Amino acid sequence: MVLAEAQHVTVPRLLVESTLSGQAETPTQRHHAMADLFGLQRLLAGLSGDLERVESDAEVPRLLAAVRELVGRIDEAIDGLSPA
Amino acid sequence: MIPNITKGDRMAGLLVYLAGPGRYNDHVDPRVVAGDPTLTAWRTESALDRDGAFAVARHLERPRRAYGVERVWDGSVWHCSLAIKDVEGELSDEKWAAIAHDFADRMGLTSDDAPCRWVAVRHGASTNGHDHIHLVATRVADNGKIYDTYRDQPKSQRVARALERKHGLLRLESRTVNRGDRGYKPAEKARADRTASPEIDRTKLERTVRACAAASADEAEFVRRARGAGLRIRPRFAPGRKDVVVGYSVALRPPKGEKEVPFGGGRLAKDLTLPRLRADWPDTPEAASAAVAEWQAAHAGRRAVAPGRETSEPGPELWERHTVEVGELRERLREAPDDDPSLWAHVARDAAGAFAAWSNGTEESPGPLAATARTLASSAQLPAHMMRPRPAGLPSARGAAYLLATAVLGRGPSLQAMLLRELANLIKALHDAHQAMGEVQRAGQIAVAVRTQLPQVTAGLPLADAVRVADSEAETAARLAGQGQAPLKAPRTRPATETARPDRRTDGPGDKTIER
Repeated sequence: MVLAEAQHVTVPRLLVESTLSGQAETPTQRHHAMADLFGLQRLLAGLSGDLERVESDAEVPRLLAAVRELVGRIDEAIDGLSPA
Repeated sequence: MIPNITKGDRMAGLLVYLAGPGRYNDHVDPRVVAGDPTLTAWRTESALDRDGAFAVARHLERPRRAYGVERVWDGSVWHCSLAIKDVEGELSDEKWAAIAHDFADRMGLTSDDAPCRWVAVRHGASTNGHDHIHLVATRVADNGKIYDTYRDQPKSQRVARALERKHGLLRLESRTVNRGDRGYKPAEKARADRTASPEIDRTKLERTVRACAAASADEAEFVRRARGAGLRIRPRFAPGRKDVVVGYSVALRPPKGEKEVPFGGGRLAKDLTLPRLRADWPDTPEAASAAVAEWQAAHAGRRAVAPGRETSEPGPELWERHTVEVGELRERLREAPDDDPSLWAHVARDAAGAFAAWSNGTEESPGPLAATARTLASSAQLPAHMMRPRPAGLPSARGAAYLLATAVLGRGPSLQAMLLRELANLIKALHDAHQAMGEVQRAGQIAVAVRTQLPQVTAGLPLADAVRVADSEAETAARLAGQGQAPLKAPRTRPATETARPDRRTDGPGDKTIER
């Protein structure tokens, strides 16, 4: 019940999903993981937007490149998690 | 600014179209002008080619694929074009980017609750020269929620009005005063092109119906006139009845190989629904039964039941009487309040009916009379809830429509010229009322019609000088309304009958600025 509460699903749904998914994560868990990744990506994207406005610092281009690379890698991670 | 929302499912198809040459080979330099942060963080170049379009589509679609959403009711792709009028010129990419961001924010695409990925693409002006952008968004938000499109179209209009104010764009008067004309669909235009007709069917239908309605003294006469004008007019009976008519539809006789396309009265114009037409006709049991008989005859394709005054020609005494009546209406309107849209809509409808009737009688293909009728009719397009009954005892210009419906240019031209002079004065009053109500664009359109259309009519009539009603004020309004008309070369003379109305005039051209 605690687990169901944490995932914001009903107890029956948790039972069905865990049974059907076998050892792997439940669809709800994957959904949450995905939402977290998208949220993280949006956060980083916002950060890169902010960085673009700060031009005075020499560190900025390097940081920007790092952020962009990270955004790209999150994309890859999401694609990896996505159902075919 | 006009927003137009469409929804679909093919993100890549849409973006490739936007990045491609376009349906009419009209796309110039397709580029991304704005997008949500996840897009701009990843994509730095703005030019959009075919590969770029696929990449952007893949990016926008990522949440949908990630969450395995196969179908969204009403389409998973939300697309809205934002267009400004050609007279506003072109905006910069930066300006469009700011507008796109504001629009996306206010439409709720960027809310924290369900942030959707979106992009704004620009590819030059449309074929009609209107600068525009396309805002494309996925409806599957980053957190897997679906963007709610409930009543998004009214909302987009409200947002557009707000952004017009914020970004200093030309404000749409048709929306702010709720006076929009009916628009037409691309299919209607295509049909007009195909059949080589000078205007779309609906415009012709609207004018003919308007003319028939204005010229008729009762409903039965309206049906006979419409049938006489070659329209296929059909009643809509109340459910289960054959003796109660609640509406009507009209269609033109289709050319060979084309289908007949009927339109309900309200689809032609807001003021041509049967209830609104009936408001001008006597409401007596005899008139009602005569009307039902004619409707039934029209329904069954039988001949008119009781031909009436539409078959005979009015004598000179009628010309005189109705001409005087128009003058009386004009006099009465001097005391009328300016802030009464309903009253002026009645006046506009009267005047539009007269010109429509005249056009029907005399113009082979739509000419200056038809154009004038159309301009005036726009002033009558108030929604039903804003209309109040015609003030009791207010003279009407409908007699003029009756006369002009039978008028033949060249016959009795002096009578026609006198009537035209009175009508022109009426238009002038309408123009002033629009200006007093602050509807500068509308007033400007009327002024343009008076300056460019009426002189063509008066050329064939004596007393031509008497109907020159356009004055410098009207010209100023027209110029400010951005109609792009050339200035007048010939000096204008004030007609002898035209009296100044100092109470309505503002002091000079400097006082009139377009509302922005």
